Amino acid sequence: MSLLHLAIISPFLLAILVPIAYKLFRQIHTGWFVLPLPILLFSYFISYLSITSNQQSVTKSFSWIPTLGIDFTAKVDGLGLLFALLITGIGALVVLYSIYYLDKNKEKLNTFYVYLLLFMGAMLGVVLSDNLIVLYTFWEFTSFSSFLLIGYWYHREKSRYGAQKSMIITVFGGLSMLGGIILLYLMTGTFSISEIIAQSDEIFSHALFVPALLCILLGAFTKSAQFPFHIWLPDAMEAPTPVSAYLHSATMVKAGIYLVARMSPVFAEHSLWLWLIAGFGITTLFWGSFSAVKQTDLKAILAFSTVSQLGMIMSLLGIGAAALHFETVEDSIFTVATTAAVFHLINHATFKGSLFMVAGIVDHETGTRDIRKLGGLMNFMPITFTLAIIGTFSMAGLPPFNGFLSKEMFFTGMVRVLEMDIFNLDTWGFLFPVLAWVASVFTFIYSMILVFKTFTGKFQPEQLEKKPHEAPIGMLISPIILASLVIIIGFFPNIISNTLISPAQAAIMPVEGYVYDTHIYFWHGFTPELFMTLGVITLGILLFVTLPKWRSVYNLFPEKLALNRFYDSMLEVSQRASFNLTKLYMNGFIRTYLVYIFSFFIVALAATLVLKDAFKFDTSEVATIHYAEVLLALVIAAASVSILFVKSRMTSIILLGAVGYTVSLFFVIFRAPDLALTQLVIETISVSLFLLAFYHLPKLRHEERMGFKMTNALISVGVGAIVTMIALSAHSNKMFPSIAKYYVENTYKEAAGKNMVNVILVDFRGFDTMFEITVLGIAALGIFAMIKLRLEGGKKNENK
Amino acid sequence: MDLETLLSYEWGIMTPEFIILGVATALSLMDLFMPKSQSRKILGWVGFAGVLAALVSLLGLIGHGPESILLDTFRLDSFAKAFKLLLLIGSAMVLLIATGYEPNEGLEEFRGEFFYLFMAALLGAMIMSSSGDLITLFVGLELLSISSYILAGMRKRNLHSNESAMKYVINGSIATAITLFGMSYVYGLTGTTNLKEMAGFLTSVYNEQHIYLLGLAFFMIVVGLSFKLAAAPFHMWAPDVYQGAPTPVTAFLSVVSKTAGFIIMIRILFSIFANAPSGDAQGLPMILALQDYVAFLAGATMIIGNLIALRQRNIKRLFAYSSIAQAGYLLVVIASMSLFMFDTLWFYLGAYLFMNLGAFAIIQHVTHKSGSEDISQFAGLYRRAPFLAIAMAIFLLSLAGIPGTAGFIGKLNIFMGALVPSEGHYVLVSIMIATTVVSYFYYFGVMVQMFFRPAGDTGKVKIPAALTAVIGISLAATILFGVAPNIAFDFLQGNFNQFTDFFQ
Repeated sequence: MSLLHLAIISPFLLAILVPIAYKLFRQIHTGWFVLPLPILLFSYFISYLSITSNQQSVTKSFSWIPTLGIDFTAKVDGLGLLFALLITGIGALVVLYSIYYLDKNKEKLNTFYVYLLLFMGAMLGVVLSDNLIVLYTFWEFTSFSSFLLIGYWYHREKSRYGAQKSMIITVFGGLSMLGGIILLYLMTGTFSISEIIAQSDEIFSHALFVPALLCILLGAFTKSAQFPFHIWLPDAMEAPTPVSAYLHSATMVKAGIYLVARMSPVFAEHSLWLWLIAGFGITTLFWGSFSAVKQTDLKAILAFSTVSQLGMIMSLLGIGAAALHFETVEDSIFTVATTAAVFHLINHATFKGSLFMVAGIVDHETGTRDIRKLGGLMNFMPITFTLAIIGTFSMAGLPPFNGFLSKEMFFTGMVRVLEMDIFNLDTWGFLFPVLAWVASVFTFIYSMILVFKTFTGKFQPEQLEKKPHEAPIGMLISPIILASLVIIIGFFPNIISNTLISPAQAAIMPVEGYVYDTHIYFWHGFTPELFMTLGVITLGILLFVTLPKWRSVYNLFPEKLALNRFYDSMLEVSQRASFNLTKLYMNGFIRTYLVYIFSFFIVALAATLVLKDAFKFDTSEVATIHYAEVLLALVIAAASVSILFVKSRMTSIILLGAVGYTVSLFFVIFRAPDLALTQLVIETISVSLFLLAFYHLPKLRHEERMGFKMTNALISVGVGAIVTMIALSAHSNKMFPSIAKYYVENTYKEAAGKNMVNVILVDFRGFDTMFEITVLGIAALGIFAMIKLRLEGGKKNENK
Repeated sequence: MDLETLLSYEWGIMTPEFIILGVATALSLMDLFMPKSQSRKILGWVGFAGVLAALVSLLGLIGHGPESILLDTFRLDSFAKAFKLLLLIGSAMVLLIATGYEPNEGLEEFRGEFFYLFMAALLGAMIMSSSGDLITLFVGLELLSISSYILAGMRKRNLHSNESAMKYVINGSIATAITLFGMSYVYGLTGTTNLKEMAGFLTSVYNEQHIYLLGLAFFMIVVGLSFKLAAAPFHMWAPDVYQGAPTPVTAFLSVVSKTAGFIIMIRILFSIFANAPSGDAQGLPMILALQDYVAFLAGATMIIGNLIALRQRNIKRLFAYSSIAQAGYLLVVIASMSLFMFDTLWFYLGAYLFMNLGAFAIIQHVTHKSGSEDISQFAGLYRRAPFLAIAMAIFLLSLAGIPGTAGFIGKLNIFMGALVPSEGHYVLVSIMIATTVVSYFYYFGVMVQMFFRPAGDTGKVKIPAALTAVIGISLAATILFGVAPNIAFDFLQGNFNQFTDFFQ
């Protein structure tokens, strides 16, 4: 175990200490104990920059489950480090923010920070593991801690609903990812990502390649809230705002993007990869931004905006994969898409993080997040307003903020799809730039809604729970830092281009011996992208101003088709199905259960008999049948059948006895008097016991007797027929002489006994007899216990 | 058989069984002579000590090579040793749970019976795990079954308990009859009850008719034995019996008895049918030819168990369906017949033992306090008893197969085992994944109750020491085998060498 491993598990270790600190120091906000860790980790990971900026990587490994080929291999490369910095950096800011956001006297801070630390450690584990099983382990931890955090305010019904929904969807994806991982293992014989990448050429044509690809993508899409799995993310907004800022915009939802980026070297050459990722990404982008405009809750707007931005990064990764299709990756025009993806990932974390914090401040200071109630807050909270302007303008893609730069690169990537002549992209490829542009218009509109509906317009104090004022400085520090980053990256993008972006790109599209070199420019001249941006702004302003006029467009969309409806009804249907199944199938009546068992018995055996043509009836070795035997058989049959029709219980028992006695007559005919005698004794005892028992039972009322039931008749006839047929065919297959001869010969010789049956019981099979006696002893004990009940029973019956 | 040969046997290898038998006898005598007013709790501790002693003697036998005495009716091979270990550990923990069981009604005066019937059932299970003869196997099975029937009806003045014992007996006898019917065909074909001789004889069976009969016998044995596993088509008894039986008995049925069911299934199926020809052109052994049939049962069991569990409000019924589903996962192991089948089965059964017994210890404590078994009794457990809630959460996560717990490693093993053979069981694995997702709904339903609901009853709860021990051990094992499963794998590899002596 190295320092790197320790860094990954340190949040878990701290999580154990947090409740203790909470107990001991109630006066100090627990957040202060947590804050040093992410700062420490952030500075620790910064030290890796010197290695990764040369596009090298560090691997530390220790053996975990060697039997299954699972090592806990931690690997820091450009991509992993970028995420690690995001997780710890944003993590530190979020913890700081939460100290002022969560009241130490009202909230259960110990659980909050335990959950948050669990998440932080899990997320670090996801991005720094080279072993897929370890990655999956941490992946599920993130889902689970997200579940706990969304349900943090558990007294709200919506929190519980959102928690469950996010859990079910992401864990479902996680499991299918596990399936994909195992498929990859089957093809390559390893769980190590680096080793799988090394073998990617060989597995390309493997039959399991496409299923593995689909399974992995399902995991990534559910986690990163891609259409149509995005429905969990808006409901996850029930979590406290620091959590939304951290998990549901900056880090956890990007785990899917991370996975796609990480697995690109394995799958990217396949056309499905490109089509699916780019296709789902662009659809998500469009649908997210379109839906965001109709929201009225600040956090809901941000949630849909996150969905759409995730789609944008996803689609860029998809398009970027095309670069791997050509002989030389180096000068491919499609690498720009990957660059844009990484760049926007960073930018999104900065501006969306600050916007969530702004929304949290507004909520905290006014008591509502509903934009219909808000307005005119500009004068009360000028700093927050400034922060909101920076964040939203960057999100809308306006200069001079960092969002403008990545948006331009995004357009470049999408326009270049037009030049793609592989995978039939020349037919439908034009949709990409079109959808991208339309989505950007909507992005512009909701960005404007977000800032102007909240901070400008008419101030409505009667709608607000509190009198608004500027937030405390502690709450403002974190968004200020993020907003400054938005501006700094906007003006000097190249400070991160070769330290963060290129190394990450090298991990996504590794080329032997090639070093990526990225430069981001502000001004490219009058390119199509610039005109697209101008078009977005013009049309965006126009539509924003006329919003009330065309808002009704959203009502056209039928509510019934909504995906949430689908999810809810799926839950309902499965519950109802389970209920009906229980009612129909597991109804508690033992006779129904017997019907199932016997039907299964008949069907399985009859099917074998018929399908395999196994029935055989060989009369060659059968002794001649005497009239007496026929007569006895008829008596048995008549007695058994008449049991069904007699009215009284006594008569049925006597008839049953008659069957037994007749069987003993058979033994007489077959010259086995001792057996006949035993049978007679047993029969007599059981009949008299039966009679005794029934004597004590309450009388049957006439109507309680069952009428004729077709199913029962069929089943009894079926079982009888099957057993007879099997017995007949068994008899017709003799493979060896009967064992009887052995006993006849050896009883006296080996065991010196004259009564053969006795010798078999006490000698040849003595061990079995001993246990059989034990069994009988146990049965006797049971009966004894029952008699005891009989003596003392009736005192009280708790069910009455 | 003369005295000399009798004494020449190495009786030492039966030490664990003798200890259990002795303790069972001693317990019944103690119960007889103890004054009526005295608490029978002491019997539980004596039983516990006996099981521990058996465990120690078994550990002493671990290095012992494969050995068989009494004309192969009793054999001690790696398989027997490994699975007896599970049986004994499980029983010891169930006994601890039982000493902490103090229901409002019924059991007190029959407590003595409870303990020695329990020991008898354990003896039956142990005989099953180390028998090389069909009849001894069957007798072991009956010893276990009959004891269990009575145990299920222990709460005599509780109608649910009466009903459960009744259903259990009826279903059980039918299952037994079917098994026995199947066994009699194998005997009829081979003329011996010795498993090894049977296997030897069956390799030379080429008559098509005989092969079909053997197939029928296979069906009947599997159908009958599925009763003990609570797997389809013989799972119906489980919910009623689990609900009605006293909680320690439920724990016993769901863990020890189920383990024993898998033991006898493996013993019979793989001893008898592994070498029998199936009659097809490639000379496939019968067990491979019929594995689709087992796969069908596994699939049906997983679907039924998980789907019906969704609607359960009674926690014990919920766990009954959960245990049906778990039996389905375990059947996947048998259906996939990979090289590591024994290891996978052993590991999962071990993990299941800890997570399920831990959960049952908590269930007993929570339901007993309030007298109700409704799932809402768990509401706000986190506020009342954080340790219990966290422990329960970990057991549930493990049952659901979330990473970091022993249940996950077990499931991963099952997946790998099912997919690695050249013709992977993709359908079966897909069903398993889909039903696992379904299982999240009800496992997390309990978690939502514990963590996200206000507590109804705010009183602090005091946990008996024995239950704390069970919960603590289970918790430690669930996490330990989840985080460092290699301890178990190394133990298996070091001591049992992939169970190669099973077929010798």
